[in-house]
Amino acid sequence: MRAVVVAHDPGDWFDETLESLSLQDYPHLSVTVIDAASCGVAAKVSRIIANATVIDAGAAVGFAHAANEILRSRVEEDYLLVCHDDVALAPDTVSTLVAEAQRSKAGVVGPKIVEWDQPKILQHAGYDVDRFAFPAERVASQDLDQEQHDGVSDVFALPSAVLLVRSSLFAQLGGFDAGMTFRGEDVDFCWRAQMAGSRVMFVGAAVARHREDLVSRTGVDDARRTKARHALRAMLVNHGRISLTLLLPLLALMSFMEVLLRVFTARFGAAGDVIGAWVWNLRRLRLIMRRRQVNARVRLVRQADVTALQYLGSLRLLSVLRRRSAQETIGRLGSGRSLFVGLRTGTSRWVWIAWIMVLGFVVFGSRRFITSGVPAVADFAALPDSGIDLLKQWWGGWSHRNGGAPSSNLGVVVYLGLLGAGIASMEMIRTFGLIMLIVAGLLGAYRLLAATGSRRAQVVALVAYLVLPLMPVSVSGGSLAGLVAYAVAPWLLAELLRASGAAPFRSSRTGSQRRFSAATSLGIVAGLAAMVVPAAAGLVLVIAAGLLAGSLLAGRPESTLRLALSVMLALPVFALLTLPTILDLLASGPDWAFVADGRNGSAGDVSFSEILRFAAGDDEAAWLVWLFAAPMVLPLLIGRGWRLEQAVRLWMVAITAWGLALAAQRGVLPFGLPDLQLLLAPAAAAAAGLCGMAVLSIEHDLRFNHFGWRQVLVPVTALASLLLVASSVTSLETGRWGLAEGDHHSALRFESPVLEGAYRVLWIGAPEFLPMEGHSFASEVAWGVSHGDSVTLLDRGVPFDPGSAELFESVIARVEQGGTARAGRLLSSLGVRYVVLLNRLASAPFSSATDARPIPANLAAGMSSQLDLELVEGTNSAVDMFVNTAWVPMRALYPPNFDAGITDFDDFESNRLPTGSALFSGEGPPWSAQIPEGVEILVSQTPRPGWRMTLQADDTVQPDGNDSNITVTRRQALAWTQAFQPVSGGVVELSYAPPWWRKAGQVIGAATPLMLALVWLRRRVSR
Amino acid sequence: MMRSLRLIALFGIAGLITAGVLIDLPDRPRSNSADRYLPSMAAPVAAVNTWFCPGGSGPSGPAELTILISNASDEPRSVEVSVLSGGSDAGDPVSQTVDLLPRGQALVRPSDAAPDVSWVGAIVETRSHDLIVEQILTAQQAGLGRSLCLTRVADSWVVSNGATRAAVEGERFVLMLLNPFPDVAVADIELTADVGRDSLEGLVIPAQRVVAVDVTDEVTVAATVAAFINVASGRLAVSWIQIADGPEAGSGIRTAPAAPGTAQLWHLPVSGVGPGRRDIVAVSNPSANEIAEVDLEILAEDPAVRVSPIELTVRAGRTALVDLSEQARLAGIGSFSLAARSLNAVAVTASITSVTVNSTVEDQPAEDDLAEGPGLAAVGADVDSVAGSAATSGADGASRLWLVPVETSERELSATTSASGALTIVNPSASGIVEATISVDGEVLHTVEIGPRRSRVLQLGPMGETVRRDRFTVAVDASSPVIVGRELLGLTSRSASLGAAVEEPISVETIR
Repeated sequence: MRAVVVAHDPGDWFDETLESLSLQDYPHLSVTVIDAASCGVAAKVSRIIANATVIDAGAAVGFAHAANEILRSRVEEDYLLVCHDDVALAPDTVSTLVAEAQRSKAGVVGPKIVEWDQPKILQHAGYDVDRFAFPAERVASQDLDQEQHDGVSDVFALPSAVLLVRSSLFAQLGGFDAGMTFRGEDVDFCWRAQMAGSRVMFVGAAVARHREDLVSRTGVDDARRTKARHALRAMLVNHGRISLTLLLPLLALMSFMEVLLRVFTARFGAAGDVIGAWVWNLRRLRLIMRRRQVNARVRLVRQADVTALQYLGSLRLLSVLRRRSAQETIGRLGSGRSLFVGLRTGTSRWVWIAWIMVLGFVVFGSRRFITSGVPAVADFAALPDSGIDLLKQWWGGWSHRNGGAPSSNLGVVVYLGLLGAGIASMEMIRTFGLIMLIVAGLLGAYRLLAATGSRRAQVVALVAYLVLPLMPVSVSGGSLAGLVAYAVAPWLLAELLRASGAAPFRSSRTGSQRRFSAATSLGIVAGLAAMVVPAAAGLVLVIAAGLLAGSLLAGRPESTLRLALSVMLALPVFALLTLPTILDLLASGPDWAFVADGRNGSAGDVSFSEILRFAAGDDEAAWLVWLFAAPMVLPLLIGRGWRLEQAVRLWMVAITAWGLALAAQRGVLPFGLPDLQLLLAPAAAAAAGLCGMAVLSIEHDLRFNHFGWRQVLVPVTALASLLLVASSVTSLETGRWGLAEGDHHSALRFESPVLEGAYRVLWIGAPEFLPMEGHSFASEVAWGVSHGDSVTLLDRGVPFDPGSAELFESVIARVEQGGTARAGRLLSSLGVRYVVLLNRLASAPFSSATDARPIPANLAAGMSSQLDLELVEGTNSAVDMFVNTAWVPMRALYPPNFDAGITDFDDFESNRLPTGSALFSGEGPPWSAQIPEGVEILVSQTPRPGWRMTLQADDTVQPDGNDSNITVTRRQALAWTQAFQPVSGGVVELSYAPPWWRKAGQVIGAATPLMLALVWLRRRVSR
Repeated sequence: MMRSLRLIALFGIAGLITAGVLIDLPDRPRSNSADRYLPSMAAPVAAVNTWFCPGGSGPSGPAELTILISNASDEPRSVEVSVLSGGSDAGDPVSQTVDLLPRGQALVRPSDAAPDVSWVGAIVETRSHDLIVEQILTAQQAGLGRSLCLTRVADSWVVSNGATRAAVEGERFVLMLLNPFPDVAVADIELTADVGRDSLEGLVIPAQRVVAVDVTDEVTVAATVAAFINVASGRLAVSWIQIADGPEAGSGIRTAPAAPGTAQLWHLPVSGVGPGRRDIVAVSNPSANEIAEVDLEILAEDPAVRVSPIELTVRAGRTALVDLSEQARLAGIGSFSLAARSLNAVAVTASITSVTVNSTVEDQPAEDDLAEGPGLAAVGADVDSVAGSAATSGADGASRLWLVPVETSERELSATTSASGALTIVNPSASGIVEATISVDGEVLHTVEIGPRRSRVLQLGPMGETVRRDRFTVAVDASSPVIVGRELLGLTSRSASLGAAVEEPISVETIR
C-alpha cells in the first residue's frame, strides 16, 4: 500500500495530514508526497514521516496531472491511496478501506469524508452522477453524521480527496485525466474504472476529515467554470457513440435554457461559464477524440451497464431550477430522494398525488384547447398574428377604439409580444396563457393556507377551488375578467390575511418588515391582475372589506388598521405596474366604462340562489354546489381559536362578494359593475379557504368535544365533498370547460381592409357577448368598435380618452328611436362598414338559442329600417350583420374641399360622402404611400395632437441629394375628424407620436414586472 | 368567549344570507325599454322622417303617380326625393332635392326622373316632422286617388278589399310593393277571393325597386279579394290601387296603404251613409286557425244617439264585409265613425271603401252649419253629383297632434275647379272629453269638445276660404290622443285618408 499525497503549497494543516498517515494501523503503508508546486515540502515530510518519498512535480498543472506523476515511478504495492494535502485520516481508515476492497473486490473505494473542523458534519459520502457527468452529493448540506452512512454501498463516483485504488487499475486507466486540472477528475476516473469492470464503493466505516478550501488557497473562484468544463469533457470522452448522439443535443438544449435563465436573472457570469464549457471542449476536440480511443481500449463492460448506474435525468437542471448554489447542490439527490420517500409516506404523498390529479384534471379538461386552440368567444380575443405586430401597436400609443383615441397599452402586451416574437406562436401563447391562469388560481388556493402548516388543509383548499364551478363558468362564458379574478383572488386573499397579522398568518419578521413585505406582495398581485383586466384590482377592496367586517365580527378590530395600512402601502407598487393606465386616467379623466364593461347598473337575470352557487346555472349538477355548505359551515361549528376567527373572516369575505353581486344583479347600484364571475371570485377563494379550515378544525378542535353531533358532521362533510368531486367530472365533458366550439368570426365574413380600404366594425350586443369591453348603451346592451376584419386583444380595452365615442352613441340612439333612416351615411363618416348585432355568445350551432339575449326589438328594427344598411341574409341565427352601403374608407384620397358644405355631423344624413380612393390600408400607424398631386387625404381618426403627416415630394430633393420632408397641413374634416392637405404629390407618411410622458409610462409599466421579477429572483437565489 | 363568538358569527352570517334571500324575493326592476309601438298610419314624429310612397304608374300607365309634399311650417324646407322604378335588378334610385317655401307645397312627378318605366315609387326624406307627403294617382279614365304615403315598412301586410271584375265593372286591382332597402326582399302573397284562393310565392322585389302585382291577372272576376302579404326576407312598404268603371263599382280610382299589422281595435274615422253612397267595411282575420268575433261599433257625433254595434264573425284567413248602406240602424243618426273591436283577442285588420254612384245631394246645409256640418252625406254643398270612390285604412293608434293636408281645389290635377271636404276627429277614450283646436297656418279656426267615444266632423271648405288658399294644412291639437281623418270631395273624384300623427302615437287599445 502506498499513500500518494498531492501537495500544493500546503499550510499548517499539512502536518496533521502527514501525522494521520503516520498513525495508520495498517502495517505496510509507504508514503509518497508529490510536490505539485515545488514549494519544498520535503523537509516537512521527512520531519514527520522519515521514510516518505517526495516527488517534485512542479511542472504539473492541477491535481490530476500531479497525481499521475506516481505512474512515472515504480509502484510495487497492490493499492494506491490517493489523497489531497488537506485531509486527515482516522487511524483505521486505510485498513478498513483495504479490507473492504479485498472483500468486495472493488477497484476503487473511498471513506466517509467529514468536515475538517466539525467532524460531526458530513461532507461527502460518494457521488451520484447523471448521464451528463454532473455529480450530486449523497449527503445533504450540514448533514449531521449519525452513522446513517456507515454501511458499504456501490456508488458511481467518489471524491478524489481520499481514494483507494488498485494500482493495476490506476495504471491501466492511465491515472486521472490530466486535462482536468481541478474538479471533475474523480467522476471521470470512477466512470472509467467502471467501464473497466471495477466496482466503486463507498465505505462508511472509514473516515477522513477534509478542509476542502481550494478557492481560498488558489485565490481563484473557478469552481463553477471548471465543473462545467470537466463534466462536459467527461461526458464526451466516456459515453458511447449512440448514447452521446442522443444526449449531446439534449445537453445543448438544456445549456441554452440555462443560459437564458442565467441571463434573465442577471447571472451573466454563470451564463458565460455554460457557454465557455462548450467552447473549451470544442477547442480540445482532438484531445477528446484521442481519449475516446484510449477509453475504448480499456472498456470491458457494456455502455448500457455503466449508464444504468447513472442518475436518470439532469441533476444540473434540477439545481438550476431550484435556484441553489453549486455548494447547495450537495444533498440534491438526497432531497430528491426524500421527495420520493415522501411519496411513499406522510402528507407529502397526498400533496403530490393531489397536484398530479389536479393538473391532470386541468389538462384533461382543457384538452380541446390544447389540440384546437381557444375560440375567440367574448373576452377571449385573438392576439395579432405576430409578436412584432403586438409590440408595434403597443409602442404606437394609439387605440382604434372610440373612433381613435390616445391610449397607453398595458405592460402585459409587451411580454406577450416578446413571447410571440421570440419563442412561440401567438395562438399557443393564448392557449397556454389561459390554462396558466387556471393553474395560477389553483396554486394560489394551495398556498392560501400555507401558514397553517397543514398540508391536508392546503390540499383540500386546492381541490375545493378546482371543484367550485367558478372556473368552468368563467371559461364557458368567455369571461377573461372572471378567469383573471379566479387566478388572483386566492393570492390577494392570502396577502391580505398576511397583512392582517392575525394568527396563523403572523410572520416571524418585525412589524414594519412584515407590513412592507405583505403590502409589496399585495401591490404586485393586484398590479399584475390589473395589467390584464384593470377592474380586477378592485378585488383588493372587496376582499379587504370582507376581512374588515370579519375582523369586527370576530371581535378582533385591531387587524382592521393593519389591513387598511397595507392596502395603502401597496399603492406605490400597484401604481408602478399600472402606470400607463394611471397616466391615461389623469390625462383624460375617469371613465367608468373602463370598469363596468358596458353595463349601466341595470338589473340582471342571475338570482341570489345562483349567486350563492357561483352562477352555476340551474341544471342538476349545479344544484350539488349547495353541498359546499357542509365543509364551509364546519369550522364555524367546531372550530376554536384562530380557526374559528379565520372562518368568520372568510365567511364575511364570501358574503361581501355575494352581496356585491346581488346588488349588481338587482340593479340597485347607479353604476355598472364588471363581470359577475369577477365579483364572485373572492367568494370562491374564501369558500376554498373555508374547506381547508374545515380540515384544520377536524385536526385540531374536534378532539376537544365529546362524542356527539359534531363528530357526525365529519362523515357528512366527507360524503358531501366526495359528491362534489364526483360531480365536477361533468365539467370535463367538452374538453373546453363548456366554452363554445366556434366563435362569431367563423360565421362573419368581412372584406379584407387591405384590399378594399380601412374600415371599422360596430358591434352591439349584451356586454357579455361583445368581443371587447363595451360602452353601455341601454339596459344589458353595449356597443364597441373594432378596426379591420378581426378583433384582437388590443381592441379589447376601452381607453379613458373618449375619442369620438359620443358620435357612435348618437347614431345608435337615433336608430333605436327611429330618428334616422340613413344611419349608414352617418356611420360612413365614422368609417363603419359593418354593423354586427350579437344575439348570442357564439354563432350557431356552437351556442343554444335558449341562451340568446336578443338585441332590443326597437334597436333591431331600427337597424333593419335603415335605407343604407344591407342585412346580410343567412349569416347566422346568432347574429344580424349589416353592410353599410354608404361606407367610404377611413383613410382615402379626395379632391380638395371634398367635404364642403358639411359643417355639422348631422349633415351626413342628407349628404352622402363620396367614395375616395383607399389609402394606408395596412396596420398602423405609421403608414406611408405614394400620392398624386392635388389631393386631400381623409384620416378618420379623432384629431388629437400627435398626428403628423410628412411629405417627401419629388421636387424636395436637395442639390446635395438629401431629402427634406415637409410637414403636411392638417385641417378639420367631416365636422369631427381630420384631413391632410399635401402641397404636391410624392411619398407621404402618416404617423402618430404620443407625448413623451405617455411613452415613459408605458416603458415604466412594462419594465416594472421585469425589475420586480429580477429582484425577487436575486433574493431567492441569495437566500 | 368562544361560545359567544360562535353564536354571534353563526347568527350574523345566517342573518346576512337570509337578508340576501329576502332582498331577492321581489321582482327585479326592469328597464322600460318596451318595444316601441309602430302605428299603422303615417306618423312623422321624429326629427328626421322617411316617407315611403309605394307609388303608381308612369305617364302611360293606368295610375300616374304624383307626389305632393306639404310644408306645414313657417320655415323653408328641403326634402330629398328618391325615385324608385320597377325592374328586375337592384335599383339605383334617382335622387333630387326639392325646396319648399314656408306653408308651401310642391308637386313632384317621379316619372320625370324615370320616364320610361311602367311603375314607379318614391322615398321622400325630410328633416322635420312638419312635412307631409302624399301620393296622388291620376287614372287614365278619370279621377284621382290620393293617400298619405307610409312612414314605416313591415314584413307583413294585409289588403282587405279589392275587386277584379274587369269585364263587367272595369275593375283592376294592383298591389304596389316598394323595397327601399339595399337588399333583395322576397314576399309570399296569398289571395283570398269570393271565387277561391290563389297565391304568389317567392316574389322577388329587387333592392330599391318597385314591383306592381296586378291581382286582376291572378284572380279574375272576383267581387272581393283580400291579399295577405308575408315578406319572407326583408321588409316592404305596400299600398294598393283599385280602378273601376262600372255600373255597380262606380267610376274612378282609389288608393290606400295596406295594413302593416294586426290589432284588436281599429278606428275608421271616415265613414257615412247616404243616397248613392255605399261604404263597405272590410275586416280581415289573417290568423291561421282562430275565428275572430268582432264588434263594429258606431261612434256617432250626436251625443244622444246610441247605436248597437254590428256583430261579425270572421273566419281564419277570411275577410268579412259589411255594407253600411244596408244597415238600417245607421239611418238618420247623422255623421259617425266606426271602430272594429275584436272581442276574443284575435287580432284583425279593418279598412273601409266608399263608392258613390251618380248621387244627388239634396239636403243642402245651411251657411251656419257649414263649419260643423252634419256629416259626409251633406258634404259638397256646391256639388250636384259626386261620383267616385275612396278608401281608408283603419287606424290602430291615436295621437294628440295631427297634420292633415287639404286641397279644396283640384285645379292642378284635374279639370275640375271646385271641391270640398270634411275633417273627422274621433275621441277613442271611453271616459274623457277631448278638447281639440283646429288651426291653419297657426291661426286657430275652431276649438271643439268631443265626448267619450264620439266623433266630430268639420267642413274644410270654409277653412280654405278663411285662409284664402286652396291648399293648406290643417293642424289638430287635442288635449288627449284622437284619430283624425279627412275626406276630400271633388267633382270627378273622392278620396279619403287618415291624417299624419306628428306626436308619438299610442295604441288605441291602451286608451281607456
